[in-house]
Amino acid sequence: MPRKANGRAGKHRDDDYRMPGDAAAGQGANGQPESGMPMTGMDSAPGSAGAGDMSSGGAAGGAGMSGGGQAGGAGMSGGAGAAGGAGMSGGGSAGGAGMSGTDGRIENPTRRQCGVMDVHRRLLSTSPEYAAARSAIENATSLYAAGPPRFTGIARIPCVVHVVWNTAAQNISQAQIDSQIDVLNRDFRATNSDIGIVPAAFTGLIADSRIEFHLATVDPNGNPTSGVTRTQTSTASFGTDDKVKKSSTGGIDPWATDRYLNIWVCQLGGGLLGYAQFPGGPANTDGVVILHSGFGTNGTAAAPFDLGRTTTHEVGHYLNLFHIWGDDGSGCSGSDECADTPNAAGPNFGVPTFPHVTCSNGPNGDLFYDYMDYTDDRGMVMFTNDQATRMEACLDTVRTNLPVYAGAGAGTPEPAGSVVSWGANRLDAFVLGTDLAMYHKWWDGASWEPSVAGYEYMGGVCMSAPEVASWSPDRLDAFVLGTDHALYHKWWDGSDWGPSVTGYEYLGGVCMSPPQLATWGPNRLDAFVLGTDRALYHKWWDGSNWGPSVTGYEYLGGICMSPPEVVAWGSDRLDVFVLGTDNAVYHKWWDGSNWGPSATGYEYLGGVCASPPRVVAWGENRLDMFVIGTDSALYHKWWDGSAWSGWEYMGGICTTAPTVVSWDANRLDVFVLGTDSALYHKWWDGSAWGPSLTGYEYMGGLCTDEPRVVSWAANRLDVFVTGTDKQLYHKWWDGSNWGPGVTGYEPLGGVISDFRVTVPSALPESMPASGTMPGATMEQAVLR
Amino acid sequence: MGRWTHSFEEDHDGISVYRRDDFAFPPARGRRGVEFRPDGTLVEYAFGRGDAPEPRPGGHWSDDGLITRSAGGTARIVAAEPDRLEIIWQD
Repeated sequence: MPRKANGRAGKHRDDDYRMPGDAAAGQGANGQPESGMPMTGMDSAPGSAGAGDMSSGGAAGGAGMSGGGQAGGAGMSGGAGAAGGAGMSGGGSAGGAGMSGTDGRIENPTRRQCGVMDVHRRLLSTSPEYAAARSAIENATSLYAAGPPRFTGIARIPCVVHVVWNTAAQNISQAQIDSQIDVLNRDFRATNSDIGIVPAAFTGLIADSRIEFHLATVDPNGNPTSGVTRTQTSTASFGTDDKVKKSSTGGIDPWATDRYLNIWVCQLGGGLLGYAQFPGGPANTDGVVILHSGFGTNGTAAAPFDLGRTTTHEVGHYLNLFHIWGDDGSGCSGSDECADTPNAAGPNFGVPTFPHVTCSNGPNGDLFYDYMDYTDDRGMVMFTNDQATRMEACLDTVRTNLPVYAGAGAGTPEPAGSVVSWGANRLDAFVLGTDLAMYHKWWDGASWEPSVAGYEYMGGVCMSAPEVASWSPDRLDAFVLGTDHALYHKWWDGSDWGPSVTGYEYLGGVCMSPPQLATWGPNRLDAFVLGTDRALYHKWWDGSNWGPSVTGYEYLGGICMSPPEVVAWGSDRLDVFVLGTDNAVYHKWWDGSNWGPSATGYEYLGGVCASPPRVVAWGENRLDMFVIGTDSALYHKWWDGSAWSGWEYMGGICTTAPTVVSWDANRLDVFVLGTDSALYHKWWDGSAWGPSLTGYEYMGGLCTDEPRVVSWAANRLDVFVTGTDKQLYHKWWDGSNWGPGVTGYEPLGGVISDFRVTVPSALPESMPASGTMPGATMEQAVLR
Repeated sequence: MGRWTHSFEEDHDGISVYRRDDFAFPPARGRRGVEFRPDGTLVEYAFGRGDAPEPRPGGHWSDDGLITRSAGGTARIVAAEPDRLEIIWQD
């Protein structure tokens, strides 16, 4: 469980726990009841009939927000006016239509492969480097296991299955491949139906490793893929010499082994069912090799190895698990480095009868139910807690490039924003300069680039702060509004910016709110904006195309008084929150197949809000929402998987919408600005609010816009604010201390026009005729 | 001479049966093996950490079929055909 990070209670005076101007602790400004937001005569009865429909019609007609015909027009061209001077002002934007770019996506280069190949174990005795790497991995694993748990979400490992076949039967079916992925997902999540064979003496050891597997949807070049390759070979059977892993020796080269779990399926000689390479070995042979007839549960799979457990076993090795008997032959001196697995002499075969006592491990004997023993498929059904910890350590200390999390830290997808992190110790910050061009700087783990105070010029004339999503490591998708209020997009594919460093892809629309992005999986983007009718509109990138079209939008109804807040807590799941005309919160969700409560309907969640709702998911099917009430206090409401709570009063007098981030399950960090423009912080540690339910930690500063906070690891926070000098400032929580100090900030340069959210305050003069978009008054255009 | 893999399904009467690598072994979690090298050394193949058979120094063998194990103990080759070897391990 997460531990309290900022255990400062007792170190500060009580006054430190209240925001300036706050009433006495525990007493709300309006003395409202605990679960009630300040009401202004509104009926807040939830779920009342009819309340689910925020839409008052009008816009239902056209599904398209496309302004049509404007693609080549005004565009977002920066023009000459942007060429002002030095500093962050850049030159002219990309030629022609300015931010209007092409639809073409630039392919990633294939990762370079290097190193030599050899069989894992032989390396240990012949390669000092490999021995050293293995030693370092074991040390890191020990340290990791001794520390707090790192991830509490679900790690999802992208897999590529390389079918290398000599006879037609060996060219196994997609169904056989799918059956193996299903087995992995059941076995590693302890949802396998045969887990009941474990006797009571061992059931306490059963672990859900919280690791899942899926066939890759994006290949190393960035293209959509089935996650399966098929190669015909003249090799009748392969050995353990890794020839199946090279195209030049009758097999097929792996996909970038740091980013994919490579699974070769072929005919193996010598009756071998499979073999694996441990972490730390050569990159170009990393992965597992499985006999086709020991793979999956159908097709060529044959008893007694037809339940897919060979792959479960080999992937266990791939994630640094040793054989449960300690790999010392039949002795009692070897260890699998897991304290909860009984010391055992040697492998068990077949399906043993409980108990099988060896090495004085009575009365319960060997844990031959474990996947890392040598029994038949139907005899192995579990991993232990310590094995799960070792695998977790492997993912977090060695196989760190596997994009097992959509972003970093928690198991839920990385939220989009103006600052994002696509990996450990990586930050990408996007701002607008005074020329309204986009600027970018990044922390690469060692230093700020292009310099501490410098920024990369990215062109454009933007009417909203950059909204950036990252759906995989080294991938960024940035969205802004242009002067025509259309949506524009640019992307970093790992090596280049598309469509160009200063160019943008035109995505149509006439948007009355900044775009809000979410990504729930690799190569997936969901963008939400408000139209001029204040209804919600949606478009999405499905890996190969924009839906409903490049410039079209899906109409989702509503009359919204705040920009949409979008959260994805899992694959193919979206939750969208807006304020209605009554300033109550309304909610709709995508469940993978339908919008709830309906395509254009909304769930009424009550409240009278003075800020847009801010929502975070710290786990699957969990949502925590924060808003500012009309008394300027913070309020909290949460979805626990089955029901919404009431409104929890959290004190404070807040001058900005709350910023909330979660770096672990059941962990929340909330930041607001107070009336003194200083930053204030409070946190939920899993059991209590710190510094108290209604108290706040004072963090200094004179901030001019709401803070942006990201977390790239457990117990890590990076906070960005703008100062009165329009510079970007940074502070961070490293797990034990705030840097550069509780109230200090690191200056990061720049002259920033608006860091967090620039809401269009007026429609462009050249705004095209309303077309399919209902018109809006100037006043209506101001949304915040 | 050469490498032999344990065909344990054929074991009988305390005798371990070995086959050449091209033998149609049924799939198994692991198979031990032995390799008789021309210089008289014996290499044993144990269950490897990653399931690939793992070579380890095993001892010495002589033309009369006696195996002296470096871990202690002896073994004797009791039958040798081109595609089949029978060994009695004594330890």
